[in-house]
Amino acid sequence: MAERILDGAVHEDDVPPDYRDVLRVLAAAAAPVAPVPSAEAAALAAFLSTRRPVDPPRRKSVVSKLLGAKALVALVLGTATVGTAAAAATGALPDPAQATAHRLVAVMPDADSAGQAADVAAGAGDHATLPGAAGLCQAYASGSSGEDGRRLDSAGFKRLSDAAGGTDKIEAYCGTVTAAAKRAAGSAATGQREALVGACRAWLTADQQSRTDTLAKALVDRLTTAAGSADGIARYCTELVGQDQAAPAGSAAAPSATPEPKAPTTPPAKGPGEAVPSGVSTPSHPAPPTPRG
Amino acid sequence: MIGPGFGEILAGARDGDERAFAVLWRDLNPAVLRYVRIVAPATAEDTAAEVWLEVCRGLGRFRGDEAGFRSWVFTVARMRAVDAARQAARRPVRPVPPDLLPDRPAADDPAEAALEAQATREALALIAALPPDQAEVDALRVLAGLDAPQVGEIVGKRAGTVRVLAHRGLRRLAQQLAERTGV
Repeated sequence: MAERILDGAVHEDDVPPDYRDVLRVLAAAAAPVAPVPSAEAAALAAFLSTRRPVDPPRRKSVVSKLLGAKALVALVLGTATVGTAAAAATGALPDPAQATAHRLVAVMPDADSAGQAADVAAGAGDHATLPGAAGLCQAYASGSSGEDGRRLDSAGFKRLSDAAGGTDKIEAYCGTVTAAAKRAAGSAATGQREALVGACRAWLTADQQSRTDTLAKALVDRLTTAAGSADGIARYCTELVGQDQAAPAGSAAAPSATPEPKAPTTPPAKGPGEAVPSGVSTPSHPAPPTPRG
Repeated sequence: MIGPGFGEILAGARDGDERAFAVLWRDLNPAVLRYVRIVAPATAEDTAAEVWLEVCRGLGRFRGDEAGFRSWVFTVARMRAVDAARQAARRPVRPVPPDLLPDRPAADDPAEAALEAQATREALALIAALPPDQAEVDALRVLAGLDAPQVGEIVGKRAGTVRVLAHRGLRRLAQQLAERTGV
């Protein structure tokens, strides 16, 4: 009976006398309210202040800004979480819907930028003075094995020995540089994979409409390339996220579990006398499992 | 409750349509405000405004139906109310001598009166006087129209625990009302 009182689903005559006053108190607590225009106006003003118009034709330039040096270095040095790359590049937090898309696009370097990343990483190491050190060291290494065409020219050789502190120190110097470059390339690859996992999670949790509207086109394009086709994204992402979670084999077959609850289409919200299936899927709720995917 | 049009309203609000947002606000703000009055009375209006600001910012990320939306809004409300209550406890208000107070609107300020009828204010005060975990589940069940599992999600307790707390709250209300009327 207490449940029905709390649901507002019971009449005064049907409750014990000592609960009739309780019923009135609860009814008063939940009584309708007259509109307050000033409060509403303030709320609308606040709402409008949070809306930032997004200009689709400019999205490309935002992306190229986000793939700028700062974000790349942060990514390569492993200091960027998904959020800081975008925030670092733009210095601001864009509107939430765009933030997710932009962040995910930001941390997806193109294949050819991995080489840049390696250089940047090498440059950011201890021997930070020589840009392009990785390339020079590579040429030096090829030269010493006698291959033509890739031998270091004298200007390059001089730069390398200057940076190393002497011709006899070049080997050691290049050892450090190539090791750093390998780490950078590795973390760029890891970063790329992590970015794809992140993109997949966003794609899997988005509903059909949002996949076309809200998710950045660049992100969807990247997923299409990775998956091989637009239709293949679902399967690709399910597998990728499944691997990432180290999920047991059985769950990889079903659409991947989403971090946010996906509510089923609307049962009406609670009114007097109605039983209420939960709109939010919870483990403890007796409602049938929500359809996923 | 908005009903079948909810999806469109939500989409409109997401797109920046303030009329759509107004529908959402009108539907839920009274309950949000009253819930906050019960949990963190000192700064109810400010806290409610913060709740809506956070909801506005998170609109793009929200996925779900009307019940899910209500759950989410009250999750935000609870977090803000708990924070506000904590801050109020840390900064006790020292009473100002009445002659130093500027002319403040009286208790029957029109906005106040419009918002809260006498019976409502008394009802909220009674619920607020319950032990906090009983007060909050009764408030969420009755004001927010959420069921026990949904309330459980918000307050971080199992549905069964929520039911026990809620029923205890009702019993206590019944006792207090009986004592008042001398029954």
